[in-house]
Amino acid sequence: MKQDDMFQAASRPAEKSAPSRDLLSLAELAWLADATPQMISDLLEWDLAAPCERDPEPWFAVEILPQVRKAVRLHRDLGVGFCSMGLVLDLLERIEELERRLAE
Amino acid sequence: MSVKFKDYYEVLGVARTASADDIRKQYRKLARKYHPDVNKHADAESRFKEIGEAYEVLSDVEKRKRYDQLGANYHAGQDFAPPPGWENMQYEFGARPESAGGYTAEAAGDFSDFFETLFGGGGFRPGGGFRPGGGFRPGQAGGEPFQNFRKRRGEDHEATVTISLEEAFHGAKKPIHLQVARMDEHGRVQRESKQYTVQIPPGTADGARIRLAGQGGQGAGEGAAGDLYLRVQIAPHPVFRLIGADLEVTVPVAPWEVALGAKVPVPTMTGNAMLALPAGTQSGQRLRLRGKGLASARHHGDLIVNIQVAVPRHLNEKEKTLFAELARVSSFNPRVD
Repeated sequence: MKQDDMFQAASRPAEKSAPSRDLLSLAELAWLADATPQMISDLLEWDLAAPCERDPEPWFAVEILPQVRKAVRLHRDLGVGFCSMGLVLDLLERIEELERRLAE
Repeated sequence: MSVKFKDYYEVLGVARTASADDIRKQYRKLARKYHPDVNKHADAESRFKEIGEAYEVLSDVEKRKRYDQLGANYHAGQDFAPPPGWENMQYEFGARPESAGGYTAEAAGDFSDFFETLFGGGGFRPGGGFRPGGGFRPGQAGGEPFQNFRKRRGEDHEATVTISLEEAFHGAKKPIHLQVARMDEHGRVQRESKQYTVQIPPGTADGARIRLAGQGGQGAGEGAAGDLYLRVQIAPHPVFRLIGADLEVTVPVAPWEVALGAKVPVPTMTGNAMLALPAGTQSGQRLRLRGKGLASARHHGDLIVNIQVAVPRHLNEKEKTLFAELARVSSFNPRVD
């Protein structure tokens, strides 16, 4: 089973209108990232998951899902706090970039 | 297939005499080093899981004691068979202190064969041994860090469900549809409707949460799925207003009914009830009918009747005469009295 199949659902009442594009509500993002809505709110608060629309509820681009999942795993598995999460993610990205350059 | 011995002390790089504190510190250090999001080496994930398994055993007093009884003569990778009589040893793996409110484990299936040989799952189970829900996972959903990577309970999720006041009052079995998002193979969001049948208990209050066990996020490894909580929203009602567990209804009455006192019919959720208006009841006065609100094991609401005096818009000749007579003989002045 692919990993994405594991994250099967998002909780949004059916009667609410769907977004025009591939956007995720906060609840949907939480569901797909296997996080609590509070965790997503914390990521939002620390500017670690920026919404691309507000109506006024935030809507997120699906492209941020891998980064959100990573942040949630780092928080849950290693206890990385949200205040230092941005630094950790930036450093990991820089390490990956440097390792990629070294490999070339 | 032979089972290979695992030296959990060697995996964590601690002495057999290491304290619980040393083991925890070393686990955290290694978890940071080998976490698959941090370490991109091909074997990082398997190493991370191995560390998690070692910590699972060595951080649990009972499991560590049982593991230590094997002695120090085994070596990592050596063929292993449980010593004679091993399966007859009585052990209870009780909940670890920090596991209150934590995870339940159904079986130890995702751990190594060695682990399962020792602690149940794929192999034998020690007498009275591993108990589901006992001592596998510390932490709370989404809460404590350094949760076991291999056996994490899925997150709880929440959705809102709107029900009628009648459904809240009487209880109902209600099919609900939730729009469900999932990622397709192209990484696009697909939404589909998922149906659940929900039992609404009688007396359900606005804001109450109904739990659908196992319908939340998937757990990792053998971790159980989280739960889906439906937050109840009671739709506005044309007659009654809900205030906590109390209901409020406005009842228009005639001037003579409040002046003289009367029995008037009042709508309740179970049909009309007769309310005795005392003589001299004022417009805007609120009278309470006990036990006619939302009732459950947790709360017992009342029906609050808001009295509103209504005056006839059109009077016939007889009524005009009588009102004029009343005005003439009455000493009542509402702006003074």
